[in-house]
Amino acid sequence: MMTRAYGLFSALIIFVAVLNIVMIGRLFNGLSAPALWFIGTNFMGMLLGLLNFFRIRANKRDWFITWKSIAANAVCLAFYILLAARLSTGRTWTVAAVAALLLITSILWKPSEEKSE
Amino acid sequence: MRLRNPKVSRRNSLNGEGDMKTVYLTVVLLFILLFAVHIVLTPRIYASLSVPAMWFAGTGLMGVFLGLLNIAYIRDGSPDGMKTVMVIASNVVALAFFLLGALLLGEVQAWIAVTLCTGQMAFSFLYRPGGGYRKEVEPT
Repeated sequence: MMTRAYGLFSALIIFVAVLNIVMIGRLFNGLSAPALWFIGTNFMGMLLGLLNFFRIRANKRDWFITWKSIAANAVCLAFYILLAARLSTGRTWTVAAVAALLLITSILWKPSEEKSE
Repeated sequence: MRLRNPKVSRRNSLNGEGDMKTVYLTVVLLFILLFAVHIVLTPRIYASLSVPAMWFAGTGLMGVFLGLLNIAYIRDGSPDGMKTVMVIASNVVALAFFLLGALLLGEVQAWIAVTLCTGQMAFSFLYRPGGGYRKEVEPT
């Protein structure tokens, strides 16, 4: 159950990032430096989801794999909250809420090798 | 009993001198360092924590996360095709992004990012997690 929730929130973060990249034409006219930073930020969201998928896939008790996911989720949550506070749109607050849920599930999730002990 | 696969083991060494894992890790750490500097420089480039400043810092975080994904891949050590595809695809997409950025911005640091990302991608292609161990077949 927890693995499903963890995978779902990771997939949601990736989905939102991909959606933002696809909809870049609505925000920027042409490819400029700010547009490039915007794409980069959304790649960050995609990589955050992949870091969490990697942890689920690895399914092992490794301090680096565990803490890099939790730290990355915490940093991203802070980042998305700051961004939502500045943009004040419903979508940015939704992304921040998903990031919060992702952080909670990443803390609660345990590899199956640990569960069976 | 587990034996090292000589074919894969050869792939993970550089002319028998150094360990590919060490060189791969060094490239990844340099890549992370470059993007840590990128994040630290955000307040110097932007006067306030505006939305463009956040996009800029977010790109720096992207570089750090890509490096972390590569370190996790090196550390994990289990031969899993899915994880390999995940890491290689991320590196390829990131390289395309950095190449676009370097062509658009034309700055030295952007080309350094392209060089390091190319190295990272090449190593992710060549590196085989766990040194490609195989189980010895018991004689029947």
